[in-house]
Amino acid sequence: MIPASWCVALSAVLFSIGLFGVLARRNAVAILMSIELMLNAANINFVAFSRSVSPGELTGQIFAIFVMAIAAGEAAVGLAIVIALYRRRSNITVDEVNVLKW
Amino acid sequence: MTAPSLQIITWNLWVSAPVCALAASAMVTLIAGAFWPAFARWLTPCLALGGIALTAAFTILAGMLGLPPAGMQVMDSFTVVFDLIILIAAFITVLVSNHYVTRENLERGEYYALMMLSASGAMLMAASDNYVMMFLGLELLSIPLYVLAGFSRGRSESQESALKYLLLGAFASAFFVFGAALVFSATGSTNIVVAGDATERALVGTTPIYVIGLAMILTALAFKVALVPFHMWTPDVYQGAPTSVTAFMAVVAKAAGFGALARVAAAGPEGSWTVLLWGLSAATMIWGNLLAISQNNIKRLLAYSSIAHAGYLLMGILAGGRAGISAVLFYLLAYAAMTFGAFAAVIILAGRGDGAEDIEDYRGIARRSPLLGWTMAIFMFSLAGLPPFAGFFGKLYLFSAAVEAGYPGLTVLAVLTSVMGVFYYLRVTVVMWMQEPEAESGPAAQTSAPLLSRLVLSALAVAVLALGIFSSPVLRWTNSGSAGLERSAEAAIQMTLPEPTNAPAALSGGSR
Repeated sequence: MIPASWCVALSAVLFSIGLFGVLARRNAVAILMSIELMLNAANINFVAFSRSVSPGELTGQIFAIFVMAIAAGEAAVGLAIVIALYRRRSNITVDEVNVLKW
Repeated sequence: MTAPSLQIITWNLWVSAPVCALAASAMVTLIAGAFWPAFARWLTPCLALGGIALTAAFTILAGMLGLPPAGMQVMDSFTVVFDLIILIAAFITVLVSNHYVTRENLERGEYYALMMLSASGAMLMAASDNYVMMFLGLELLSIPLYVLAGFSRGRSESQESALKYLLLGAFASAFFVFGAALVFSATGSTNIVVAGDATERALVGTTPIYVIGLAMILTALAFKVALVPFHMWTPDVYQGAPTSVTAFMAVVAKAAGFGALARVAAAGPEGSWTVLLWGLSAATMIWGNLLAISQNNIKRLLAYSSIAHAGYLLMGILAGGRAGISAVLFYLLAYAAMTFGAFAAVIILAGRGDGAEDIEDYRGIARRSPLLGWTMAIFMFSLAGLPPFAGFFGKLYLFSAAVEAGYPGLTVLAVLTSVMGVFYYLRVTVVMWMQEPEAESGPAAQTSAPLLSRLVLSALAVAVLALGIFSSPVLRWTNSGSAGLERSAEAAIQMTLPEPTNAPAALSGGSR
């Protein structure tokens, strides 16, 4: 069995990659992808610890399923907003979204 | 064995009945708007108002039943008071929106439906004693708001506002989820109180992970309620979003965040947690008020003012206890009345296409329209915290709760920053009352409005005054709410303790 600490390490690394992506990428779709990465890092944590900290219960798995469903909803709305933006500007670089003072 | 489990299911349904009622009404509104677009203009707002009233009835009824905690959601008196504040805010939003959506051609059925869904998410956030449910509430609140922020598709400001809100909001919710995952891995529970209690009793040896997890959850909630340094999105999003949506965001999203914070803070660890909240509150009050001074756009001014108010509200959360939470609830109610009032006035003044949004555009408006002049003055005085308006008593209760809880330094800071606030709030009033209107200056501010808007504006001004003068009965009501929060925290601990023998008590006594 894979020890829980490996899973924590994996999820921490994934979360950090996602965090870096959000801060460093300038493409709106890439930022959305990075956010998905952060959410899935949390999912790994939930599923990995579900067995060790609350044996016999499904709390972790159920949270993971909720997160996936919500991530799908968020991605749908997010992509819709990005498409609306693209239709107007033919460009989805967040640096150029600067009508308002950032 | 079958009968008791059925019983439990019935109780559970009652606990979630208000949220379900609001979500179902939102669906009805959505369908009505889609099938009878010809009547959408008056049918959808009426359905929305009806749905909100129905939900309020359900909330009061469920509150009277005295329901036990139902796993992930609790229907205690805190939830009842909080839900009613949210519902009042949603009701006012629908009334305020009517003029705006008609003028800006945003009359689509989904506008009201999304607003109601968002409000149901806010209710869920305050009613949840579990991180899973709180996350669901957070997203149910946020996702419709992303859409609403970009609702006027023709304006690029609105699109930009939606994109910024979406990216930063989703980023914040990723923090929330990861924080919840850390709390779960440290304590084996996603229940807020149980997780906090397990750490306090040192039943698990991984307290640092719990604290990091809680800090990430706090970060996410701080994003939602716009605390410094997580406030960057606020002015842009508030300025770009349709004004009626901005009002909703400023009140309901902020209230929901504070409802969740009240639940989380009740279970927060001592020490580092208090320092964190102290620092956030102080930074928010100072920075919010400082930046508000230099704003020329009225929506940006109100955005920074909402940041400053979040700092005051956090003081109540920090003080905690019965007085602190009660003061937060009272302040939220007062804040809702005066903020909606200010935005309702801005909606009228800005005119078609939101042309006149600079404070300078409102020069001498009070002479053309005494109603707008007087009501705006009342809202601004109240936001500044001058007696005898609601804002003054809200601040009074918050500050005295903070002093009693042992934070005199923070209270002095809060008083000083509210003096700073007086400057920029009064500037709006001075411009409206004392300066001469300029004939050729930019887009002219509008003063004409339909009867409904004028009625709502006057009613809100009266409410601000009444909340100030008759503050003690309202405070008694919010007191019942904060008492409920304490009771259900105790109940949650009682439920999870396997057997109340003497051994765990001795253990916890020893570990402290």
